[in-house]
Amino acid sequence: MPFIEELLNYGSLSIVGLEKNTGKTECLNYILNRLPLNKIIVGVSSIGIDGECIDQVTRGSKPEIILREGVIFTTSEKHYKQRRIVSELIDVGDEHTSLGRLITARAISKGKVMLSGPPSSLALKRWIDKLKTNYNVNICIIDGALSRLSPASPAISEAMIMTTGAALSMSVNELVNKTAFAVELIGIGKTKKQINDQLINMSRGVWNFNSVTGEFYPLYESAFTIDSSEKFIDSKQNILQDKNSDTKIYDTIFISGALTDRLLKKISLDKEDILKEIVVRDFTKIFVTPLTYRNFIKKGGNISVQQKSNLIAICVNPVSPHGYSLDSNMLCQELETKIGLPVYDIFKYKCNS
Amino acid sequence: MVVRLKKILDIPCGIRYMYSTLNLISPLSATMLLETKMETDRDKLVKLYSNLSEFKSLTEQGSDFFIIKDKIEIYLSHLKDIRNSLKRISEGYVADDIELFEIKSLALINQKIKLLLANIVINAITLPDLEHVLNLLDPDGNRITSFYIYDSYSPELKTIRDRLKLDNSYNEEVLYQCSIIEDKIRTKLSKAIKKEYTKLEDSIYNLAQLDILMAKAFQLHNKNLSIPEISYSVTDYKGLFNPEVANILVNEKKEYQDTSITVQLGKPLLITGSNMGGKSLTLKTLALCQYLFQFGFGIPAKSALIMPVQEIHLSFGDDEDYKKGLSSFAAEMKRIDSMIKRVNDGCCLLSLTDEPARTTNPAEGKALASALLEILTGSQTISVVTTHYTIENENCDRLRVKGFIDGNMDYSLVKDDMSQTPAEALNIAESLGVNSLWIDLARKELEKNIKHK
Repeated sequence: MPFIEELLNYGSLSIVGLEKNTGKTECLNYILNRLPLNKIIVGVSSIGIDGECIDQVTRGSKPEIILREGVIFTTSEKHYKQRRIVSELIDVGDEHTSLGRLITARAISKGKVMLSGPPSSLALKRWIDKLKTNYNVNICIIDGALSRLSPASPAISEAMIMTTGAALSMSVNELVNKTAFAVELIGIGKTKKQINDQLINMSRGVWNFNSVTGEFYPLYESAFTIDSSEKFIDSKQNILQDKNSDTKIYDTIFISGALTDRLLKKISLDKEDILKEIVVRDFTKIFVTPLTYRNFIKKGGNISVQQKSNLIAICVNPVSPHGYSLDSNMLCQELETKIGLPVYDIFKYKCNS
Repeated sequence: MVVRLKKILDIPCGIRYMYSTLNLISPLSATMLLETKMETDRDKLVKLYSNLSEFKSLTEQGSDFFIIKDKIEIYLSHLKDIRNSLKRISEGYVADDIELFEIKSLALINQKIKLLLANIVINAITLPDLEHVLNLLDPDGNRITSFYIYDSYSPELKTIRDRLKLDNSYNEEVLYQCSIIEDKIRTKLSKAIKKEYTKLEDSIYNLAQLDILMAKAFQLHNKNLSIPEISYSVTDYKGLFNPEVANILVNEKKEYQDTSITVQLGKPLLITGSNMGGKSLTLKTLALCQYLFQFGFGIPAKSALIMPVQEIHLSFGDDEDYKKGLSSFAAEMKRIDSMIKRVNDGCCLLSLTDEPARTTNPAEGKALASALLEILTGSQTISVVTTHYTIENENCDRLRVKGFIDGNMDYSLVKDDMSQTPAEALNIAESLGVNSLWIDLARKELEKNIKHK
């Protein structure tokens, strides 16, 4: 499969699934099995829990993560104790997760582990940096759920592989549309504007930002309270009066949390706001329906992200845990035409090789 | 009653500030310092301060120790609190890989710092030799922080693992055989480590002490603190200051006016003076210094002579306890009562009372305050009382805040012979910009009273 070659150009990779049981672990195993470990050092961890043998939700059986000798992995204390592998412990972290501290170890034999890793985007970034500086890791692989519930975002990785499949929808048409929209969001361009560190570190709020002077002020306190934010509108007028300037110089809206349907509609109704560039942290923070999103773009709106990762391939699992399966060839074909990215059925490749 | 540092951090005298400005490297040292008991034993206090003065000179710039300080700090930053794991192993529990890894890390840190300190004479800290532990957990002699059940522990394990590697497939059965041998080795290792338990515990204690003493010594230099002398019957400060308030004033580009104060055992000191003259602050600083002294910190004064006490009793007027249904007066009476009980028990105390009975009528309040002084006189206490009442008592020492001079407050304490308390409340209120009608009416009222007399 060609994308293994391409992976070698990236320092970090995340594997995300659009839904449970779309073959994320299968895909991870596929990659881990084919990366040339004699040439590079590979590090692996997870945002959620991965590699458990029984599905925590459906109680179905699941593939386990198999590591080869030399791979460096990070998991929680609890799962480290349950490992079925010979491994050399090299670091015990200070950070505590709900499953204990994070343990980093090097595989000495082939074996199975359950992965559970850094709990937040920031911790994930620290993990990547630590592995690269301390253990000369060439590529860090993050097994990441796209579940919007995780505070850690897989978007901090340079490259991304997305898995989709019959578990998402029974209808090929809907599956293709849903996947295409996710791909569209992942493909949103990175902003060219220089955003202040101070603004980036804001944990909440919707901000009006002037990319020339670096000034910013709050537009709304949060996407959920946009109707009750009278005082912010007052402060907007005050600032404008104080500075004796017009709104045009505030050319960007920075959203530190989620971009919701309601917020996007509100922005598209404002004659001034719709001309501004909307910057969100990454694609996982966009929670809008395809209709609202496309209407906004048609009206001339402009959305960009602060952090973007490169989607390099899509893997499909045509088999659903509910018992039905789709035609693999047709599905790959349809997706490829609609999306324009290589689409692979890992299960088929696995059988063939 | 055992007083630990973590219990007293929230007493409003500035002790939390002193703790938070200590630059402790390892969280383990912070935990251990917070668990420290207040020291009341004279000999142990002497030892505490001889250690601190040793580190005071060690940490002076340009000394041999100062040069290796950064390295020591890097090693100490990896120090972790593994006392619970050690305790379990000492009770016969078999350690897992994570615990063995942490013991190995500790042994490595210990040996590295021991090597660094080899050429420097330090009496306060003696690190044990953990070479044996290290040999146990690092049979290959790599001396890096990593651990697993190495092949060299058992030839049998090596054969099985070699087979596993040769197969290059996931083989549950072979892994199971491995794990059985590994468990045996862990049991053996845990038993061997159990024998080294005291040394390991000693290492943790001394490494934490090293961190604590370094932090205290650097605080001593940075905050201009001094090492106190220990006395038998008097407490005496020259150039006393409150570091937290001094720091606030420095930030506001103002100067802190330090004070000097002497208190004899069994002879209460009565401080009088105008409002806003720093009486309460002096009491709080005295409490702070006594705590700092009995926990072995540097003292915020140019020089200090301090008598160790068994208990420190503070009484400040404002903390009414409405939840217990006590008014501010009742809460104060209860507080002072419990102090008097300890005085009667013959316990050696530092008793600091801010304006006793100030919330009741002046006649009874004055009587209560006066009687309190009488009880404290001749007892085993170092006691300081502030008041606005005019109290005639010949047995106590008296100091007075110099007060308002040419519109500026002079905070220094001077000997006071008069029993008449200074009347400056109206002037001070005026300088605060309080409603002038109110002040004028009060003045007229005062004049009326004088005419009556």
